[in-house]
Amino acid sequence: MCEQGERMLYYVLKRILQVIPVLIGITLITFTVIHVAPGDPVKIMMGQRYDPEVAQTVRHEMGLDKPLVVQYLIFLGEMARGDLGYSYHKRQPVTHLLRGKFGNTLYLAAAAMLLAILLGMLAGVLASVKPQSPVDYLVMVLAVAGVSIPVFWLGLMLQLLFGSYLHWFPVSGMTEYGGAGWENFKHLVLPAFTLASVPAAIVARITRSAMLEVMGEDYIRTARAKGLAESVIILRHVLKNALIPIVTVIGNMFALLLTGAVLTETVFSWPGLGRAMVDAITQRDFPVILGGVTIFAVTFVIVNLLVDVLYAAIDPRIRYN
Amino acid sequence: MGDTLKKLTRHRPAFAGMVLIVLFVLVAISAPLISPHSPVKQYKWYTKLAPSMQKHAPPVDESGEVRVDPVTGEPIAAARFLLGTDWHGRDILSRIIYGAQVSLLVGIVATLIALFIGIVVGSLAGYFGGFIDAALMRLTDTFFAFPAILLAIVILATFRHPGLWAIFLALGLTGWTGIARVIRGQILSLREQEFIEAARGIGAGHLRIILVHLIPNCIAPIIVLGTLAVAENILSEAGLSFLGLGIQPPTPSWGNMLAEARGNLLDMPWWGVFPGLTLALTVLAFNLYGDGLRDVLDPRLKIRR
Repeated sequence: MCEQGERMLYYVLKRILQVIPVLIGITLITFTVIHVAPGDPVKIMMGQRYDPEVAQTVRHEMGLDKPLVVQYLIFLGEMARGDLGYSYHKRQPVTHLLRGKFGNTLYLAAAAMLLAILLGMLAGVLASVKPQSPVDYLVMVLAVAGVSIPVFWLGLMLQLLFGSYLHWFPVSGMTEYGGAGWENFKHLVLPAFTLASVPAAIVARITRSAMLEVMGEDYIRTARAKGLAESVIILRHVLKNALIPIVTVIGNMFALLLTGAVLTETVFSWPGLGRAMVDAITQRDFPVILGGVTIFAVTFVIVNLLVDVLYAAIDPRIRYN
Repeated sequence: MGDTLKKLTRHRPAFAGMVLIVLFVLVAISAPLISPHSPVKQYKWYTKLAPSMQKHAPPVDESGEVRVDPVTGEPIAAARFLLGTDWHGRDILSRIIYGAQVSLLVGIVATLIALFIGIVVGSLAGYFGGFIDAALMRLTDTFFAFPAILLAIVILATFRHPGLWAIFLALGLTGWTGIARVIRGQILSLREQEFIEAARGIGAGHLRIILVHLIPNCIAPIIVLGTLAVAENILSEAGLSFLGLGIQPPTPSWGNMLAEARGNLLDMPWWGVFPGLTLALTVLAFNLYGDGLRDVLDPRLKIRR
């Protein structure tokens, strides 16, 4: 037991160390790309009041006149200390600026993920219980539609139907300050459903196929022969053993979810990280872009790590090597 | 090959997808012939019209005379707008038809770029293994760890006037990771097989083995992943254009039509409903066809999306 715990710890540490090259890679790519991009951030920042001399001073103060390699190393050093620099536009620390936005994105993404897992697994299980039945057929049609309908268009249509016509839910934004639980929830419903559409469809498909695969196994036949109730077989035996591929897909979906979040946040004016990044890119706000990219990447890697650790918990056969 | 085709036509969803794809390609190619109006012409006297089969009567002045077009000096003709007109009096059907050209081009070119990068990276990593494999796969992980749309946006930002080529590149450079991983896996198992050893025994070089013996054996997953990537790229282009970063109006793209329609949905729902519906159907067609191809060509390929 002790040895196993040690092994687990070693594995987790190794995985955390693996994050470092990926993080350096991502920031390096982003750094290079934004610095070859046209558009001088100082010029954009100063707008009409552009003065070459002042601009030179500002550039010097912000360290933009240093060689690119030096700028990148400075960025890395600060990042290691948890400092992501200053926003050119909002004139506050990037960490401060993005903390709240990241929270909003996580809130939306977590709600969407939960919804997607619930809906997707329910639909997948229902479809797999009676393959080739009308229910199965319906689920498969919905699943392929789910990955095909553009997230932002779905959002617009939900806004139009449930917001503008039926007035069930607010059309956009997050809770106004002071809004309590129920108001908050109402603002979340449409964006969460929109963002959940693609992952729910994927979870439904993978659940169905994983369930069907397990159902062909000998031990399921044994369970049936023992005379167990069908519901017990489906939930305790089949679903439990079908979980591994489902968890894998859920873990891999996180990047997809963040991509969807950029568009969903735009449609619903949700004050999240995705929207902030799009704004930062159009404003050439380099520190915010780099900071946002770093946060996204770290989150992604942590989620994948959690998924891998979760495997070991679900399936003792998996050895960490 | 003929067998595959027969199986595909029997696979009903795939067949439906195929029919829709053919239709979509035909519409895109013949846009100038079949589009009822110019996609960019603004009919100032026919703005914000709802969809209708009827011809709209031209506007008249106080005495009941048909008004004269100030540009041409001719009396204004009655006109039909099947899917209605937008804020500027442009025909929505014609814009959708021309928008198909953008989607088709982006779908094909961006996919080819992604396939090229994915196949090169995947086959080098799988064939050589060792350090090359580790380095290339770390690179793939790096790109994979990044929400593709953000990287595409960052790449688009490097262009002063993002046009079609900027979008091809942005999507091609971000969409190859899944392809590289699958190809690597295929090559890993193929390279241990006897015919590769035989080729090596005859004296074939690395390049020849990869190009002549390994990649042709990966053709099934390449076709399947390519078809699904077309769907993905069409969706992404629409998303980027929706954010205002892709195709710029007045050039019609389904994404930028939706962006323009966004603020006017309550008054003019048709402006946003039809382009979105067309987009969804097109993506659906490629997904159905891609899934069908996978069932027929390579049932072992895992469901990636």
